[in-house]
Amino acid sequence: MTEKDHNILEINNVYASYSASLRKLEYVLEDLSLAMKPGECLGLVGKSGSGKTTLANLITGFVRPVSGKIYFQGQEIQNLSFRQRIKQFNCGIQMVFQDPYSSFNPKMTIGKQLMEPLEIRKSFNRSEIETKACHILEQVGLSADYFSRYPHQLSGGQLQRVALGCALIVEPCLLIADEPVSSLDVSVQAQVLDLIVNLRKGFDFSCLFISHDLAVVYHLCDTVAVLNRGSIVEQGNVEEVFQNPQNVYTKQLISDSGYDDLKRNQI
Amino acid sequence: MQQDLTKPEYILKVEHLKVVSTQGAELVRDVSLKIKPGEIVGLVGESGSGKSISTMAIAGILPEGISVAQGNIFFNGQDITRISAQERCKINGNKLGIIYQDASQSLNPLIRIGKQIDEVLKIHTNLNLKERRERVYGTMRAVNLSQVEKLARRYPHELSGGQRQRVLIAMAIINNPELLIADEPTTALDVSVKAQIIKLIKLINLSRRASVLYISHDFSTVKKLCDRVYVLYQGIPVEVGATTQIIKQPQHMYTKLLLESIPSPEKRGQRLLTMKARTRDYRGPATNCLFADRCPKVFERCRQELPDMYEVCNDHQAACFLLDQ
Repeated sequence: MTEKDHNILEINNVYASYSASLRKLEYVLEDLSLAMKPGECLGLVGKSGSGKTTLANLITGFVRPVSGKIYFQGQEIQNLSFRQRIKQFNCGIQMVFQDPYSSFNPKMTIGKQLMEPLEIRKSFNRSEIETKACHILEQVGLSADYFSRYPHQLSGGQLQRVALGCALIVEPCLLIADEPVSSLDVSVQAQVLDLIVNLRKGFDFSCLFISHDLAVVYHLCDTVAVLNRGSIVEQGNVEEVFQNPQNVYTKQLISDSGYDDLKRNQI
Repeated sequence: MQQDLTKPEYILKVEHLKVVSTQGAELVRDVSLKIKPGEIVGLVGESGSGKSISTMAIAGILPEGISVAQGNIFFNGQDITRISAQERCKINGNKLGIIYQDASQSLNPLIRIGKQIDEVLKIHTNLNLKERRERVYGTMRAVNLSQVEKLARRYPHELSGGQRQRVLIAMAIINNPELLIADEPTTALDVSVKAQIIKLIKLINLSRRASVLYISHDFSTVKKLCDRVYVLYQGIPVEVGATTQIIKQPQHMYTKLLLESIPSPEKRGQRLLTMKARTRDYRGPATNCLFADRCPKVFERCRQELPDMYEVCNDHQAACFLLDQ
């Protein structure tokens, strides 16, 4: 058994760029390597523009790397098409986006959107899909009445719950959450965080949690990777990194987030 | 020092403000607040609590269909509740600076940054072109923007979110306002830029002696900035007091809920909220304690009467019947 079999996700020396011309490439991600173990919740932190979302898009296949390799469950995935991904991994990688209002189709009911990922897989019949969708709705803390509602009838926090439901209904191995709580009110944010903590107990998935809020990352994640200008500058256990940051940038980030105050129990 | 004697005690005094929509929904029910010169006051609450609508009423920029039904707003001793647009124009941008929440939507995408900042001076001062340009560059430097000559020639889309927010702050403070209203200026920004903007507002408060009304839903930023806090719930202040006092000893259950929502190292991996999730906002007239449905310590009286503000200690009040003993 090689190292790749142990890690659910492994990224090796990846370079990514949005430049149109190949002659003059400006890299968004440079020589980035990262590994995730099964069941791990990895927090990815960094300023805006540091490449957090690009990394998420690389893993989901929205962006192809210029060079480097990405392994998911030991298989190379960086050049697979979406169709191949669905076939091979049964929607094994799912994503929750930052803005709940723009992640739903306004003309489809919540129930229909929840069922869609299962319909694509074609391995269940209609009634099975419906019971599964009702079940997941319950698990994200919404009553069955929401099944026939439209996205505009729900609040941001409720929509983000549905987004989590849509992602988890196919029982993925890896959930990528791209700033899922940063556009929410503090109290609603707390509800969604409570939900994620709960769901991690019920479902068996690894989580790549992208955020710039260090307090949230500390609350939720086991390990943390700090991204600065397209490279990972520090990585390790959350408690170790937060208590004893080595990199200058990490130190800056921690002091900006007011984590020192948190430690002193001033809220 | 004659001016100091005539100066009113409060730069902003809002008395029993009630804002309603044409459909009869009560968006702000009964808000009274006072800001002393040089003070930074926080207005905290969830979305829908009426914080933004209250500040819009203060600035006289309520959207169509929403109007002030009751109450008075005094700015510098002058009643500005129902003044004409011309009189309003003399105040806004001059003695009253406003920083809006979404910087990318508050700037005109077709006008260069420098010209947009200059517009404020053009309207409110008699300075000539050269003097105005000096002042624009000076203010841009004061809000920690670099290479200001170059930046002034740029369009809003060429700037980062943090830069745009600084431009907005520059526009708000260029006429040395006496009161600065900041409506969630940091929500769209990442932690590092957020920390810088908070520091900048504090600096403006100290160097330009401007009072600040800071609106937020997040106690962790309010704590760093504000001297006093008003906690708003569904259009009614439920707790008022010094920030440190409120954070140390919150009395109203809603304040406790807001405080416990913030993840802290002790609660790592545990449940954050112990109280009921948010229910649909009730928009009719308030006859009982509005927080009763969510409050874990609810009792008979909460469902029958609307609580008054009860004194907790000096300069700390909360609207909860538990304090009426």
